[in-house]
Amino acid sequence: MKTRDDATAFFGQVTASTTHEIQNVLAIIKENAGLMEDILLMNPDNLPTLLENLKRCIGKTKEQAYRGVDLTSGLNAFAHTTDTFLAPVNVYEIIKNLIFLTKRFFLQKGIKLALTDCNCPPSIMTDPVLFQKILWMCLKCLTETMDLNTNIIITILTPDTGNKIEFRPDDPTLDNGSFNQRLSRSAKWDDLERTCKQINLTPRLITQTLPGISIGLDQKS
Amino acid sequence: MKIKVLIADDEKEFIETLAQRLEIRDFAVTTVGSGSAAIEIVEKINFDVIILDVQMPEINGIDALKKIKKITPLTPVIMLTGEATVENAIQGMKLGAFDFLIKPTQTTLLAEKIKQAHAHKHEHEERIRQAEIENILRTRGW
Repeated sequence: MKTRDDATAFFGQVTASTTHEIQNVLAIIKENAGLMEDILLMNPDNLPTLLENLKRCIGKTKEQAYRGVDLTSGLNAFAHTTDTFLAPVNVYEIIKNLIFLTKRFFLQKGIKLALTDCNCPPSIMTDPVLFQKILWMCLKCLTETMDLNTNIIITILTPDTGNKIEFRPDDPTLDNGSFNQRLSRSAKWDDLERTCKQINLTPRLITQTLPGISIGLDQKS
Repeated sequence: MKIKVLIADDEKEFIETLAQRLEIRDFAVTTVGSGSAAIEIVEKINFDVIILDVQMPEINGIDALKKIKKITPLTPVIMLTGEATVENAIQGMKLGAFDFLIKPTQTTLLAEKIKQAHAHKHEHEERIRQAEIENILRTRGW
């Protein structure tokens, strides 16, 4: 029987990052509610000032409530990817959601993730959990090989242009050859290859001279 | 005189609102959005109490605490964290943090902790001053 044991750490890290963000949202809402109480106690007679200050607090609270809804919706969608072992996966949407949920995790390391727009996103039939785990492993593989404070650009190439996902460090000063060498010799690379094999995907270096990882979406059984 | 407080947290909206609430309670508050910004400002300005979030990008609260303690060992630091982990609390306290609060915290509790930290710093400085005076008197044979 297939188990999810190997995906536990991945799920834990994504959930921890997202719930931390949700806690921040709730802390801001709580502080704004407290500030409204303070304002009401401070100057109940000066109505124009009172209304102006309260309006600002309400605006901030609403903004945070929307942020909280986005985070919980994203986390809910992420949690539901465990529902089935095989499902159609919209590559763009699943990457977008994973980036949204793990933004904080990477920002802690000074890394920003950027997903380039994709007009006609490919869809593949696969195990959504393993697919996301592979995306996560690509990001971690890169972040552990590159210098901190380098951003990562993720590009989806449609079937017409290559049918693959590319993860590139955004660093023009990088020695591409030696970076790729370190990348493909790292222990994380072996793990990535093993996990990709489980759903018939293959990780490759983008090219010998261009730094980064490429995951082909043509599943070879 | 107002107690001068520095708050470092990468959640801009959170520290802005918290700062407003502390200012209402008569504290003079400065906010920064990162551990490195906190270290930078502590080198230039003398604060009475520093509040550090544990999880910040690049230099986290624990690393910032280590550096701040080297710059200004007597300034009490209160750590704030979103995670209720005892490990963080123990590590922060071992490194010389005055206290540790779990977010979201009660503003009244935080204000109370700031006052306690300030009083502690004041007592400590007073003891050092007293010891220095006694030392001068002793060396001069008075």
